[in-house]
Amino acid sequence: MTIVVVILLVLVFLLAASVIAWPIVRGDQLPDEDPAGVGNEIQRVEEDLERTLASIKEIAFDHASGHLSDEDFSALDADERAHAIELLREREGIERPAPEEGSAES
Amino acid sequence: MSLFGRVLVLLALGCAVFAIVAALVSRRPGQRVWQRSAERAVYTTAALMTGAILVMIWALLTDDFWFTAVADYSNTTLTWYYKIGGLWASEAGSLLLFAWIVTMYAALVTWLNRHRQRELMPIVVGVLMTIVGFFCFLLSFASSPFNTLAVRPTQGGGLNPLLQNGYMMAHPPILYLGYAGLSIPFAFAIAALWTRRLDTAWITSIRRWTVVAWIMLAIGILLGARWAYGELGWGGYWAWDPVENAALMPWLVATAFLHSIMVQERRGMLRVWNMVLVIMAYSLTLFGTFLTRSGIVSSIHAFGASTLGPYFLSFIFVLTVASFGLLISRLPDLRSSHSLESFISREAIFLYNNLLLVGLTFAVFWGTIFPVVTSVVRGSSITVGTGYYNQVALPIGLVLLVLTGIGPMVPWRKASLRELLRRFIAPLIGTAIAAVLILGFTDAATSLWASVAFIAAAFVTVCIVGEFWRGTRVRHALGGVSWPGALYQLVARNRRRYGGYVVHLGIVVVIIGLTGSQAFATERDISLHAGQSATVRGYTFLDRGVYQTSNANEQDVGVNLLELSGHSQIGTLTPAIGYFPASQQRETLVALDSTPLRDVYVVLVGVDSSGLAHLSVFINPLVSWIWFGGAVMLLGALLGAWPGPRLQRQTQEVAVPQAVQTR
Repeated sequence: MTIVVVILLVLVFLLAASVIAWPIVRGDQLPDEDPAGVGNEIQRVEEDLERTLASIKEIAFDHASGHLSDEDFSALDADERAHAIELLREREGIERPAPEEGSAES
Repeated sequence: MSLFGRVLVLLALGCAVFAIVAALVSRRPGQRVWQRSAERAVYTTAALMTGAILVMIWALLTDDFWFTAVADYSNTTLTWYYKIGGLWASEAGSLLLFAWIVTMYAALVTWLNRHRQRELMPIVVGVLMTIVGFFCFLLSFASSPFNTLAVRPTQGGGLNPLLQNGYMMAHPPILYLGYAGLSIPFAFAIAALWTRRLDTAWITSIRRWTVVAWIMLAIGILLGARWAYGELGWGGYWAWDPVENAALMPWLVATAFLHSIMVQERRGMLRVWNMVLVIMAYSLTLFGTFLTRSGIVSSIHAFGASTLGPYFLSFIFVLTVASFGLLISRLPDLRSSHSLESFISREAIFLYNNLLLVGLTFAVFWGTIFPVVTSVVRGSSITVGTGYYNQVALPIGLVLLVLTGIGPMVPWRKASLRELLRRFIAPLIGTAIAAVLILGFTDAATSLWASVAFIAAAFVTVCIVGEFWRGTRVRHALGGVSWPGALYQLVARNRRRYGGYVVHLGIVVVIIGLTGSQAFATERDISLHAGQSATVRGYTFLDRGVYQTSNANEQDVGVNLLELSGHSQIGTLTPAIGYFPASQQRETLVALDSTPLRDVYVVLVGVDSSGLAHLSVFINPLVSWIWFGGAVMLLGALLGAWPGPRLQRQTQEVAVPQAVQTR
């Protein structure tokens, strides 16, 4: 019985080691797909945009249901919309980097 | 089998250590492949710990009394689910359960974020695997559930009769889901500090995890209270026991955190405070685990003296010092983008709420460790009674309750007093009407605190109902939808907000239950021979005689009581005392007649040789509201945590200038 348990444990160990080490042993040279951290940046911008859009909706709803005065609503809404526009531009800038100089003329 | 389980835990420890190293290496340029390896190590750790816990469960189900834990906490006469319950009856078994839950959380978080949060996840994995590694270390070298006996007994010691209860089958696993769940926001907070990614993204990542952990803690605490109420036979459900407090403290801090993250999300404020709360919540989680296992406090919930105290204390010390050290080093990066503009604003209300919750936590903490402190300082332990806790908790709880109603009604940034008065006229009128009804038609007026609590509960209810009404009216006014449809859309499109309101309603219901049962409970001791009767607060109990029953597991002695209200029979109660031969323990079998308005709770204290039955009778008003309130809180938390519409749909719903979108 003990022999069986030991054999089983050795197999478990080998399986665990294989599963864990496989990406390294196979020599996966994953390029730093994102050396400039572009994916991270897009994700950050999108999450920030999601929050900002949710805030805009919530502010409008608060105003409609009487929780915000007209003055406060205008100020908060303008702030958040300006931030949303900024984020949309930033996202665009990341997704479509500016062309190098001279390449458009050739 | 024990060797198999032991080695699985050792392998899990090895995988956890590898995962930490691999995750840190993966942060170097060109080494991303190590992140894949680290993720696989996390999944492998979870698989190994699952194997280990299955070994233990198999040993329990097959009555393998070679295992010390099985021999001590199980026997052949137990039903299968109580045999499984024996896992968390032992200290080592409960440690294994806790560790397994942490690994499952770690695996789930890793899998859900395998394509996201690339900067944060290596550190998140590192932190979670450090926690897993600590528990695996304890299981391997300090407290192993796989220890075996030299001689196999033919029968086990059996499960404590107090634990042979449905609530106790659920309470520990659910509570551990709460405790372990708080490691997720902690790990993300440390990752955010380490990587200096201190924008609000990390909060978005952990909000749902925190809600899940919070509601698990709440349900776990309520299940424990329900168990105590039904099993311990003292007529109550909460005694400010150190181990009860150990679950309450992280829950209070998590409650504060769930509110203050809204301030950070909306206004970019309280960033340092949120980090402090997350670190505090997890430190208190570990502290609670330490309390239960160190033997330094006397508690019905504690496992008794063990060798684990120093390990836990060291880990808590290192983790807390390192976390706060990292936080202090990042203070310049945590400057808020806005400041408090008014002391009458939603941010301010949330701040007051936070201060009260943390203040209450500190008071409970002080009362909990006071016996230990006095023992060290004076050489003798002084225990803090329930009077201290009630004196502190009552006023704080009432103010928190009122803030629960005020908060959602106050706008962000600032509000003028005139504006506030306009908003609160309707709720105050509603509350005044409710107050007249409460004071005029109930016994509430006989207790000042109860009156205040009930009126505050009415105020909060009116405020919350008003919020639902206002929102539904707005949605209905947009046109094209019926009133029920408007309510549905309102909640569906604002799950977080209205789920939160439902949770608040649940808390109101719980507070009503607590108030009624604490302020207006009646207790009386009566002694009856067969044929005799006694009346307690309008309920008459007629003794129909003593009975005895027995089965393989237990022998009961009880009394048949007819329960009458006036002259009408409303039920039969059979309070009893159970004796469990296997474990040589006694248990009080409470007789309970429960309705929404009151519980009639009868305990058999003893039967003498002449057949005279000594009974304790409790009439506890509104206790059922506590359990029902917990169910409402669960519903609200599920609603609030449910995923909402994704970015594309939100972009379409908000009229951001077309020129920007199509360029």
